[in-house]
Amino acid sequence: MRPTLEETAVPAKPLTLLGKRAERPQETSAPALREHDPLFALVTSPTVRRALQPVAERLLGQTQGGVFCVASAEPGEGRTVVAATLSLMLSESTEKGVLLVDAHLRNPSVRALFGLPDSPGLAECLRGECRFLPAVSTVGGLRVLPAGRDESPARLFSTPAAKRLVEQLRDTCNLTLIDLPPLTSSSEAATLCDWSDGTIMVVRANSTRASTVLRAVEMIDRRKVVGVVLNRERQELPRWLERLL
Amino acid sequence: MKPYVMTALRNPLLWIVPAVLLPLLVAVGAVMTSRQVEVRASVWTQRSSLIDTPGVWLKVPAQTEADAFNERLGTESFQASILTAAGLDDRVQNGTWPGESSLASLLGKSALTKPLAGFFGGVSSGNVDSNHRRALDALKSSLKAVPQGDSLLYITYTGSDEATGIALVNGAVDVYQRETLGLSSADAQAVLDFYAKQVAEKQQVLEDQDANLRAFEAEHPAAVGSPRPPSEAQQLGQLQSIYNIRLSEYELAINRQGDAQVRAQAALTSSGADFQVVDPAHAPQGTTIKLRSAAMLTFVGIVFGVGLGGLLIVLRTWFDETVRRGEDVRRLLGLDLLAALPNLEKGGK
Repeated sequence: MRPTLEETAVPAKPLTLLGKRAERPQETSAPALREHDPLFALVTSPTVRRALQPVAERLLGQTQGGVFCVASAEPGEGRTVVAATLSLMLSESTEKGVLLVDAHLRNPSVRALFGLPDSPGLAECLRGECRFLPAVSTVGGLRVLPAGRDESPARLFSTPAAKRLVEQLRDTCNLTLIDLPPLTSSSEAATLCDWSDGTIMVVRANSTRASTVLRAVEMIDRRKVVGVVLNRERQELPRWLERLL
Repeated sequence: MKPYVMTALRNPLLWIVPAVLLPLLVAVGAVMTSRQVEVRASVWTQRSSLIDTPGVWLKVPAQTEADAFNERLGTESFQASILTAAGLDDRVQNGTWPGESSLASLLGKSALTKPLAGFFGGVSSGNVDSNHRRALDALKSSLKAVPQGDSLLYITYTGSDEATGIALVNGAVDVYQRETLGLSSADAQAVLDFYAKQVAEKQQVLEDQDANLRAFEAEHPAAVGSPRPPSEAQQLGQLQSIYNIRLSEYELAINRQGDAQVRAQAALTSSGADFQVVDPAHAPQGTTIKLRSAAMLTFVGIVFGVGLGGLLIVLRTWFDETVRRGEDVRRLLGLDLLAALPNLEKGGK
């Protein structure tokens, strides 16, 4: 029986660095029904958490915090799982405020993953239809900014408001993780990577070709690539054979 | 080594197909194509010489006959006669015997690959000379005479076509028997001619001697009541002695001529009594498989299949640029590996 988010998450804490305490993010309790969602089960899987522990510690070691993108070359590589798990782990491990932003406007999944209500998100904020803080939901100790809805994300992220928002995130949140759309199929992903402080590349093992990943890395500043999280790595050889070879 | 083993485990069909199925197919094909029938006729041979040549009996008759048959099988006229006797001329003409190999047939369908077909058994259509040549070669390689003991001889056909084998063996025996008897007749006639000439010569000599004797008696008639002078009696005695010698020579020649006539007549009227087919070719009891060639082909198939499978694995590994393991991240991407998540789920982004 895997632990539910309620069991694993620490109690919600206010984002201490958020500018206006009057505008508190809306509290959202982690829905118990989500435990049957396979994706959610992965996010809360002890195995996944144990594997991602070094990454979380590395991000926590960032003295100044910052904005980090979780990117991948192609769809279906496991970005959202990595981003959500890391966010949860970070929010549980630190008193610092941790924010997860879903920037994949074409195919958002963070809202569904956490079972958040249908409310304005990142897109509405960028269009100026709502303010930033009311759009942020709280899941345990984690703040979540869902994607919202927009027909042309590329145009939306090319506006000055987008860059201002990233700067605002850097100024107001200790640690922000942005779940990006695939780099090879969207231009806004590279833009956000350039504005961020670092990018974690997620690569699906046994699926993604090295040339595809390298092409994606060429689209962004390579120096900002913190490293690679290899997802779904298979133990292909029996242990005895592995030792033998 | 590890990458290759992993590639092999990841793509089992890549090596299973060539390394297992290929030898298997080759083995089945080898067994199928090496199925052969052996058709044979048994011949009783007891060769005799019409002329008493010393040493001719020192050799075993069956061995002599087998050597003669196999030697004659090397001549095109004998081969062509066998084809005719076996009724295969039409099939050779239209290319249905000995037939082309399936590979040659396949290659012959394309103008591009047609020249290659010659290396794999030739193409029959429209090439009668080539068919004839191949037919003769096939006949020569499939027929053989093997001695069994002193007087028994097997004329055998080894090949895949049972009916053709029967026709060829019976045809070969027939042609050989006919040609052998032909030679015997010629020998017999030569001997008869020789002794006839001898008899004629001896008869002439005898008649001359008889004339000499008569002439001497006419010239020196014997006086009644008185003996011949000693010199005449001596001359007459010498002439009579010579006559007696010529007479005995003539009689000997007559006797030999008589013997030769009897033996030649026996050879001509015996219908090959010294080359008798005791068991003509008939359908064999079963087929045989050339196990050695089948095993050899299978072994070659195994070596080739394993080699091909290994080559495919190596090539697949070399050209595989999929990121699979943690070490691939540094090797292929030049980036740091932060974490490796195990494969736990079937879906999800």
